[in-house]
Amino acid sequence: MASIQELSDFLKQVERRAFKQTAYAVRDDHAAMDIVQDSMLKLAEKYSQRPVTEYPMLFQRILQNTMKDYWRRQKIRGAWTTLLSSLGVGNGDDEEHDPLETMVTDHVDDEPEVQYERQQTIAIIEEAIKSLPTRQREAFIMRYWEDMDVAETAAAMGCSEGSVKTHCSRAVHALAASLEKYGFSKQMLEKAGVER
Amino acid sequence: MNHEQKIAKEIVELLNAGIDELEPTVASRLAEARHAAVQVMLENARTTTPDGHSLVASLGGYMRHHQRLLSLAALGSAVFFAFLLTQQLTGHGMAEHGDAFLLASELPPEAYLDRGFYSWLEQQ
Repeated sequence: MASIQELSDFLKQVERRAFKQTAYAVRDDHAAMDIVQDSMLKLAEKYSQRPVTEYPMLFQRILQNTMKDYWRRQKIRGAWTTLLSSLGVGNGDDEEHDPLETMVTDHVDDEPEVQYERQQTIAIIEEAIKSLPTRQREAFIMRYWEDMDVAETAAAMGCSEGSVKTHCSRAVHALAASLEKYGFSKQMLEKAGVER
Repeated sequence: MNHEQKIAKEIVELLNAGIDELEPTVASRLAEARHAAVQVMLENARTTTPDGHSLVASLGGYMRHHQRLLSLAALGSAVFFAFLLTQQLTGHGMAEHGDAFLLASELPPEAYLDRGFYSWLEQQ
């Protein structure tokens, strides 16, 4: 059984990555925050008796399921919105579709050139990750970012180890291809990594 | 490390750089969420292992964790009890109906008795 300190340390270690990972998937920072918060609570509520070694896999599984719940709710909500708008109800005052909320903004800070370039590189990579198919993104993030092994990733994703390898390979190739479109070569990636 | 893993590693390093630059408001909300989760675990620990292992406290904890199951069991018991009660009342009614039929009949009750049995018994 994990101690309270172990739970706290584990969450501290994964919370930022979990937030980013969720934000890539749902493309809404507020929703991502809610999902991560719910997942943390579920882990503490239902799995406090489990050893801390199982936490990475369990937390990823909870996170994925909570995201699926979010999409399910969005789908139902979308269906109702479509239905109501086809009936001519609530036209013109739908606050949920404020374009300002989803518009991509450029954070141009007064920072040195290198810092700015690095931020641009990170933004491009994040966009490339967002554009990956869901399963590929999940596999890539769990396998490489969360550093889970193939078996753990397969267990968290509910698929075979072979599928994980395929998803990871496709994800890396897709990321490399989309980065090349922005003129990134492997050397440039390495340079950006070194300059951090 | 193969070529694919090298690219993945470089990408992950940049992603890690990205999480270091999270907005302070996001970081503080995440910290709040973590504290809330830890608090939940603390409360769970209190209810599952209350001072000593008293039977009442354990039962309370069990009931809290299995609320749905217990509700279903209570509902099932209520339905079963209602069924038994109905059966009992219906059986009682039928018996009453049988007596009433016998008393209201034009034949005397003796007519329903088998007199042949007694004569057969005497012969044995």
